[in-house]
Amino acid sequence: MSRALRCLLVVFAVLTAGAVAVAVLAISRGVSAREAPGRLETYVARNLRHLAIPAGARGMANPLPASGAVLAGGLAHFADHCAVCHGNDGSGDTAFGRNLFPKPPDMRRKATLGLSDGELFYIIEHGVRFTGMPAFGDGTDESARDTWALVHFIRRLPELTGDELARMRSLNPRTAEEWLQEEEIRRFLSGDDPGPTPGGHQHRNPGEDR
Amino acid sequence: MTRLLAVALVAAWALLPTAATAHEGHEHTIMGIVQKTEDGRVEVRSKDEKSGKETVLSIRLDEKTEVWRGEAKAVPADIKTGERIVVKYVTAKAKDGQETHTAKQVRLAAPTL
Repeated sequence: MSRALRCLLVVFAVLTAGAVAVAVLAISRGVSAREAPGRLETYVARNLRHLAIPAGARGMANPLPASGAVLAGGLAHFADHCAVCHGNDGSGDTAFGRNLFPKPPDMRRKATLGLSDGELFYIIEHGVRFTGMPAFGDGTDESARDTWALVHFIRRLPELTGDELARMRSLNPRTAEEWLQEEEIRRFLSGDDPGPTPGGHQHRNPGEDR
Repeated sequence: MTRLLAVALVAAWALLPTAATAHEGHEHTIMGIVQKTEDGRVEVRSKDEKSGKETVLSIRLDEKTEVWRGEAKAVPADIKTGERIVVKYVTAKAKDGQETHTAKQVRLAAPTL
């Protein structure tokens, strides 16, 4: 047997063993979304995402000024569309965020803030396959403006003030049940409601917590 | 061959999930009166309107817990015994069945003028 053939066989055997190990691991763990991806998977996925974004898109600069009006628009849009998974503060610590696979990143950290404006824009507009991130863009100028405003707002996430978070809470979408609960909480805290009641199990928009 | 095995072992380690944390599910809400506050915990006493049964829940406050007094950001030290409180929390169950409640958000009444 030639040396080259032996090398090929060894490589094949190692790859097969690796594939079997991964398959066994995947089957033994089931399809639960509770756990976080491994380090290698995260590293590979992030680099593949980086490579999958066209160089031209990566290099795009934000055409909007980071004015108060643009940031306010980004804040409102984020509270309405993004906070349900990412949380108002971008931490991803929401009922949906905690239980997605992969979990949304803490957007206040380098893994997100280190992306270029063009990369953030591309991800919001086109989404990320095999994750919970949808494609929000529709190719219109209006959509692009909203997305660029979001890019400015994402850069501000680490410095959000209490007032801004309170404003976002008021803008988070709520179901009729959540509005009723909010009213019940308001009445209880203001003393209008005579007595405390034990809380119930809720299935509601977790974005409003952040 | 040894090198290949080492690479395979490192890869297997890297594929393992980064955090095998206790599972947190839906958020719960409790409305009640602060019975006790101590380092990193708050005890909330609540009463069922229908049955009249009282329950006391000890909830952990961590660095991620948001505390609000009205519409203003506050800190855990602002929570006072005897005041009304609303806590949104998650429950994690350990392997031994022990449940831990961790507050995600604490709301207190706005200061009176």
